[in-house]
Amino acid sequence: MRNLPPQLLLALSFAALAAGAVAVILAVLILRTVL
Amino acid sequence: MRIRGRIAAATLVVGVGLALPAVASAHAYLTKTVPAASVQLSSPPPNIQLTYDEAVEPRFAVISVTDVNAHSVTSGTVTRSPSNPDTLIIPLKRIPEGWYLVYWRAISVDGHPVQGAFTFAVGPNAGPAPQFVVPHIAQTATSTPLLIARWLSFLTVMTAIGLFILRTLIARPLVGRVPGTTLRGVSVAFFVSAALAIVAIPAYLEESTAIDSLRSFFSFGALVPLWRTTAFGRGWFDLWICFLLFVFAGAVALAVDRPELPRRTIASLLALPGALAAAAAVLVLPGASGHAGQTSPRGLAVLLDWLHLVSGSVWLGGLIGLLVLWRSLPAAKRVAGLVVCVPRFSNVAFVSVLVLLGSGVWASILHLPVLDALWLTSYGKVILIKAAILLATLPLAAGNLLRNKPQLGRAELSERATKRLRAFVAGEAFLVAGAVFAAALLSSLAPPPPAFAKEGSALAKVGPGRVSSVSHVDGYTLKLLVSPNRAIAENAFALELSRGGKPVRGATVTAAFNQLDMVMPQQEYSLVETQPGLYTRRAAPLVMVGTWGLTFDVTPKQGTPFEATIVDRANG
Repeated sequence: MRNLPPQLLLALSFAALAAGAVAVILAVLILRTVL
Repeated sequence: MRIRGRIAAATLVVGVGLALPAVASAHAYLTKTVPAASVQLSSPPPNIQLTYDEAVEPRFAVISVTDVNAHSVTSGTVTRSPSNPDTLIIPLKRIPEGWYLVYWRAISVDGHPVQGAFTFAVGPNAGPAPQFVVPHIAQTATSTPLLIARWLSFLTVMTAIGLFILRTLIARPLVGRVPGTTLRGVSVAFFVSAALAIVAIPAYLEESTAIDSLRSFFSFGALVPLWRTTAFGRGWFDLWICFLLFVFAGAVALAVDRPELPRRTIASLLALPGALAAAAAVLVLPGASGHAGQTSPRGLAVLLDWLHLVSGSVWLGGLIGLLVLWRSLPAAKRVAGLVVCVPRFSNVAFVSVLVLLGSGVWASILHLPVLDALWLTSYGKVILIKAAILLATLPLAAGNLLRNKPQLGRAELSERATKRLRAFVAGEAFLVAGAVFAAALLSSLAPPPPAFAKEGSALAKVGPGRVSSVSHVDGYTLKLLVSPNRAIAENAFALELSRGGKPVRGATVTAAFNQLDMVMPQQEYSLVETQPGLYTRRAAPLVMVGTWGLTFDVTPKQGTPFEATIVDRANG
């Protein structure tokens, strides 16, 4: 991993942030059906 | 006048609005049947229609219609009514005169099975109602494999999230402060528990769907398409998706992390919040798709459940992480490493335990209608067991916090302190895993319904079998007779009312029947005075085996009205 180009690491990090956002949106959608 | 009318209307709307969530039921219940319970029809019905208060899934529903000899008289499978999604229909053969038993079982939105039964007759010469044998299907969804799958799902998800938090937020400074150390062991433990969770969650969903639709665990082709048919299934499936997103974000966050640098990199600052947000989302879902999402006030119940899971995860994952660190650090660096990590974890764990206890106690208060329910219902008993396990961990936690942690810093005591610390932490982790098992059991049991509160105010507890019981209220003597006191059959209810040895005539007496084991609508009947002071009614309100609250509302001709509740146990 340490030898990966920094651009790729940054792109991966953005993807991780997006994954978190998608998870939160999913949870909010489920919560909206409950509350 | 007009304004008053508006205020009254507004008050009514607000009142109804406030009252509605309180009566919102946790479980599907029957609101209407065609034919009606205990009715005698002149011609055979073409089908049976059961209408529930919510749309139940026909593929998870069982409706059996049998004659007195227990022979099935249905001619097809259960379908949803095209005109009303809340109604299930099962077609019947052309049935002869006689009595029939309808037994149904359905799955509520929160995944709990509910069941009931009633009889009807095809006349005109159906004869007296016979005694039917009610089919037996376990009332709760708790089978041992399901419980273990649920426990493993909770345990692995919570451990993975806790290990991630320990690795990225709590133990991270270790690498910078003690040269020659890494947190690789904790990262590996995170990936192992995450991999186990990725398998455990769908296995749990598959087993749960298999039980609900009465199929084998291995009939994947039939079951996988059914995973998302109930709200419960959708909740756990989405939990799985969120968990996968968390593992991806977590893996990136660990890969780009450079704990040896004095500051976090930009990549790390992007990936870490993503992973933490996904973890927070994962822990919302068990509550939202379980009891918390069905308990009023729902927002508070879901929030408490989330806090409980977050604090539990931080504690459990942190404890396991400390054990992993103890093993993975080189012997020469062990004490120095623990001196960095243990105090930091202790502070977090202390707050976590407080939040865990506070949210747990508050949620228990929300779920239990009366204090008695704590020792009278299995739901309450499991809460007590879980609380006892958590209390047993407290001396160990206190020992770590007050004794082992301070001694770690002192050179001459450190070696012994680390060994004791490891023993205490291992004991604590073992007990917390036990508490998670109790939590898995707890969340698979149905909480006691609000009507359970009636059990506490009961004058007497009677049944099973014929009832003849005498009780006293406000100077009145009430003699209750129930015969034969059997579920799913017509029973004769009689209340003999006297005061000072004389029969009380001309009173208005109504009887309300509440099922105390699960949420069902109340049934009310008025009793007719057939002899001086003797009020009777023949009816079949005891539609299932279990505990019933019989509340008699008596309004005497003179004197103040009063109420008397008797708890009756009816068997099939």
